[in-house]
Amino acid sequence: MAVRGSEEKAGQRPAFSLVWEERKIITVPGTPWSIPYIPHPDNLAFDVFVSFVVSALLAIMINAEAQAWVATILGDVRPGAKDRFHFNVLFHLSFLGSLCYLVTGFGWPKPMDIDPTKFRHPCLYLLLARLAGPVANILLANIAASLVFLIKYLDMDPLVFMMVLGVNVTTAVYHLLPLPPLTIGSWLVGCLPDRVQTLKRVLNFIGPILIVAIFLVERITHQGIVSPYLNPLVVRLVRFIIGS
Amino acid sequence: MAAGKVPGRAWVTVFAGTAINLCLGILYAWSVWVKYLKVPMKEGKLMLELAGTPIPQFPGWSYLTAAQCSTPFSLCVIIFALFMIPGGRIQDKLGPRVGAITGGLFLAIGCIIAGLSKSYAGLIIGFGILGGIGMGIGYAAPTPAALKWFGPHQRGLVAGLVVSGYGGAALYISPLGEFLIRSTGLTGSFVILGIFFATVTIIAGSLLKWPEPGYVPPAAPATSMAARAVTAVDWAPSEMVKTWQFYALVWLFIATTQSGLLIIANAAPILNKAAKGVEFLQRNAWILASYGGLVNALGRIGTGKYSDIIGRDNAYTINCLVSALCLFLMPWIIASGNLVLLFLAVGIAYWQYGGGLSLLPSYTADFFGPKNLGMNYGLVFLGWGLGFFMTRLGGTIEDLTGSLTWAFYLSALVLIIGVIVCRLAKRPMHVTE
Repeated sequence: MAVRGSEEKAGQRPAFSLVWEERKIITVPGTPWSIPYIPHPDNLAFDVFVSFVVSALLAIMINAEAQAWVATILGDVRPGAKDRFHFNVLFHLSFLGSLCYLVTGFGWPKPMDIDPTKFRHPCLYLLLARLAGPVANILLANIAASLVFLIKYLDMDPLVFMMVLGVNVTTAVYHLLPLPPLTIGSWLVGCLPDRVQTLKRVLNFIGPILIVAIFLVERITHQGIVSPYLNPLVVRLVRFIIGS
Repeated sequence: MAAGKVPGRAWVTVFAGTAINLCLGILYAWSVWVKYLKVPMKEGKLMLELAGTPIPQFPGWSYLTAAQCSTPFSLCVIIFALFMIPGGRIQDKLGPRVGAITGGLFLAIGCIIAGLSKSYAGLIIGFGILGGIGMGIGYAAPTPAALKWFGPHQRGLVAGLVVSGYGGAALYISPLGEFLIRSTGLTGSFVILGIFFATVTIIAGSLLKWPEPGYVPPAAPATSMAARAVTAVDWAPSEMVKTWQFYALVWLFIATTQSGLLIIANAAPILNKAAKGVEFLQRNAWILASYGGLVNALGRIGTGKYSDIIGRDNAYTINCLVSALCLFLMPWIIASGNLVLLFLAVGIAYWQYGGGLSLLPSYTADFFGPKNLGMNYGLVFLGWGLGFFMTRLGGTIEDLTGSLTWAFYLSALVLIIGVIVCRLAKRPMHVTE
């Protein structure tokens, strides 16, 4: 393999140090960023940032369209819906979800409107539809890994595809957080009984703000709150997918 | 116009489409520019310390590292993929002229920016971002527009002709780019190609035309195999994804892509190595360089043509079985290092890979109607992306077992399953039928 992950040795200044010191960093030889990649003045080279933005757009689009896809197959058909089967990322951008990519390297699309009452088993099928998002991100990460592998035959460096891989795995893993616009969170809220409409609305409103707030606090205080638990999983998945 | 020949406009649309794809295929020729931009080698090693220093023969330009050279290309591929399906939607809604001309202009402006900026950032913005957007929007326009004019008995050939442009572009852009760089410099080559692309896509794009509403393509002769399995209903994308036949088409695409790429990725380097010992091929390096592109383009036209005569299913079956046989023999062919066999194997892979790219648009049109073809084919095209898995899996198998033998067998198996799926899949029945 042309690409291998290697851990930074203690004492050596990591290519990009972020929030807390003991964080394990995976780097690819010649790659000036860590996984998960988090935009930071130290690593804002033009090519890296463009790759990051493109990867984030891909991750958002594929996450949203996969949910729409599975929801449609399971029974919530909406011909002509604006946010389904257009594969147009502009229909899926949400302000806080995109901002979150800049704050912490993951984010979310505009919440996909799914009506569980159209499903035969509302709660189960809603989970399947929501899970389709991160599953699709992992799938895309695998395609990127295949391109990383293939592109060495063209005598080229796979940096951009490494970025697509990293961003998608990060997105998929962070969507395990149980807060509303994310996969598990939006499933939990969706399964609440209809009586508590107000609670649902409040949770859906607060969720994204809370997520951005948590990660802003992490960045400002340099204290890991959630990331230390999720980042090892991200790194492990990335390594598994690139096979190193 | 229910029977007889298609009007002349139809063929104009086909060849205008080929011309547009011939422009968009510049992606395949990126390596020509890399050759001049990359830091030079010294004693088998890249002189990385030269990165960022001016290139003597091209004033204003600086050397790039190998990694930097691949960034505009990689971004272009990804953005191409990102825009391809919205591009299909633009074609379906606004017509092929808008799609093709917008796409072509994006690419042309991108090339000109890349040339004039003389910088790495300019290459990223011009070639990577604007070029990728242009290819995505432009590639989606000509094929569906051309297919709308023709009955099912001609769709294969027509799709093949249009998409052959993209594959065939490698044949002329590499030498042309090389010539332009030598005679006018890096900036000149990008600017001249940009102006050339703008001219061609505006002229060819304005020749692309949908048939008048109510136009009925000439009916197929009763003997045509291809005409039997054709829908009269136009399926919406959301209806299409609920049919199992859609997933069957995606599988067919995965099968042809993965086997083609697996052979090309593994046999082509061996072929190049084996060819080093042959003086004739050393002196005529263009044969090796253009062989793949040529067979790829011919495979698209050829497969399309015989699929019209013997039927889509039979054409797919033949292509895949020959390819599967080739895959079963691959371990032996690679071990033998025989030049003729390697040429043959790589040729079959390119032919079959190109054939898939011309069969699948026709299949999609047969199964789900021409109206939403741009969008529907975009969704089927996801199978092409998924086909990349196999090459990767091949690498994993090589790591685990120490050889690619089982990867080739597995790939052949995927093809054979593809053939079975293709024999079983008949067009879906719409609720209104």
